[in-house]
Amino acid sequence: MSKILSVTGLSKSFGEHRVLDDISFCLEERQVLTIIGASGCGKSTLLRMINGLETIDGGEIHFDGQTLGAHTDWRQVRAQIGMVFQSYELFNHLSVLDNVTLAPIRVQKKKRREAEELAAGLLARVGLADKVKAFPRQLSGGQKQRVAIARALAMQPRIMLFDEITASLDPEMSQEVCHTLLELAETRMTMIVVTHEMGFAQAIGDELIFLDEGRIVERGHPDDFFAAPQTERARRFLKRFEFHKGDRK
Amino acid sequence: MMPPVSYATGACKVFSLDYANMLESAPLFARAALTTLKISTAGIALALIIGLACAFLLYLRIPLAGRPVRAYIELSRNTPLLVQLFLLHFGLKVDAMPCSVAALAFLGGGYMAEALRGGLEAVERAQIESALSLGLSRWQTLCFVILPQALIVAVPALGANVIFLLKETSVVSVVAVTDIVAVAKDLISLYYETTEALIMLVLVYLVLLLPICLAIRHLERRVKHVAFGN
Repeated sequence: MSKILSVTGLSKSFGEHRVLDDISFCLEERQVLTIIGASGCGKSTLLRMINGLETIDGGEIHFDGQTLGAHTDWRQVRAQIGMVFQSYELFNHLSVLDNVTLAPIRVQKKKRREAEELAAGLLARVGLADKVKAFPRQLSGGQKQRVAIARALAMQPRIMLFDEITASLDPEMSQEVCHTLLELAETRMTMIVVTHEMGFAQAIGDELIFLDEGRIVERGHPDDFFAAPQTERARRFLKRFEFHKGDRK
Repeated sequence: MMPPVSYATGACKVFSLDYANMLESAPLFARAALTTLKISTAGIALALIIGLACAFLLYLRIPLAGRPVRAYIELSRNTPLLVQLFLLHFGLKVDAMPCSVAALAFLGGGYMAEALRGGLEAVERAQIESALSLGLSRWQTLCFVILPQALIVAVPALGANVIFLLKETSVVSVVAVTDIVAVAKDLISLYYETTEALIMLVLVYLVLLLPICLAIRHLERRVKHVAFGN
C-alpha cells in the first residue's frame, strides 16, 4: 500500500477561534479513515481544507506527491478528490442524469454519450436506475444523497470525502446511504468518512480518529476504540450515545 | 326641413366614431409599431447585457466595482426616461434613434441588474462549493450552475421589466422619433379626431404587448416545471 494523502501539523483559525490544532495523519490507498467527534470540533473544516474550500493556516497537506496550498491548481486536485456534503447540494435545475454528467463533460471533456453511460452505471450502482430523468425536487433526502455520491464518483476520483452525509436524514434514509457507502468501501475506494453514526463508523473504518476541540485525541482501529477507549474524553464522548432505563427520572 | 342633429355628444360618441379613418390609419400605425419594436428590442437586449454585467460584478464582489455599479443602478432607476432622453438628445446632441435606444438601455440596465442580482442571491452559496469540489472552474460554476438557477428565480421580474420597458418607449416621440404615439399625435393635429386616434393607439399597444405578456407567462410555467418537477 502507498501513501496517497498525508497531513502534517495542520492548523486553522477563524479569527481568535482555533478550529484545528496540529493535526497529522496519513491515508493509504484503499484505506477508509473515519473521523468522529462532537459538533464544532473541526471535522468538516479538515475535509474542506483537503479540498481547498478553506485556506491552510499552518502545516502541510501532501496529495499524491504535491504540496497543497495557495499556488495549487485546485481544479486539477478537486477533480481527483470527490466530496459529498451534508446538504446534498444537487443542482436543482438539472435532471439526475445531468447532475452526474456535468463535471465529466465540462471538466474531463468526455463525450456526452460516454459520460451518460458512466452516469447510468453509477446511478444503477446506488440503486437509482429508475430516477435518471427525475429532478432533484422529486427525490427523497436519501435518494438525493445517493445522487450526490454518484455525481462525485463520476469524476473517478482517487479519494472520496464524506462530510456528515447522513446528518440531515431520517434513520431509514440514513441506512440506505450508509449501505451505499459500505458497498463503496468494499470496492476498496480510498475514503475519509466524517460521521455521527457510531455503529457505521465502526463498521466502515479501517482506522478511526477521534477529534476534540480541534486536536486528535485518540486514533486506532475502530473496534479497539469502541471496545476500550483510552482517554477520558473519548469515554465521555461515547457515553453520550448510550441510553439507560434510569436516564428518565 | 329637419334641423341637423349632432350625435357627437356624451355616450353616443363611442358609437359615432370615424371608423373609416381609423381603418385608414392602420398602416401608419403598423409602420410606426415597427419603430417602437426596434427601439424596444435593441434597448431591452442592451439593458439585459448591462444588467447581467452589473449583477455579476455585485454578486462576485469584484473589488472597486461595487460602488460605481450601485451608483449607476440608483441613477438609472431614479431618473425618468423623459429626462434621460432630453439630456442625451438636446444636451449631448445624440441622434433621435440611437438616443432612444441608449436611454432605454440605461434605464432598463438598472432594473435588469436588480432582478438578476435578486436571482443570483437566491441561489445558495453552497452550490458554488459543490460545483468547485467537482473540479469546475469559477466561470463554469457561474455559467452552468449559478446563472441557470438564478434565471429561473428571476424570470417573473425580468418579464415584468420587459413589459415595463416596452411601455416606457411611449415617450420617445419627444425627441422626434416616429413611434406609434407620434403617429397618434399627428393624426389628432390633422383631423381633430382625438378619440379615434387614441383608441387606435390603445389597440396597437395591446396588439404589441399581449403576445409578449402571454409568451412570458408561458415561459414562467415552463421554468417552474424545471424548478419544481412535475
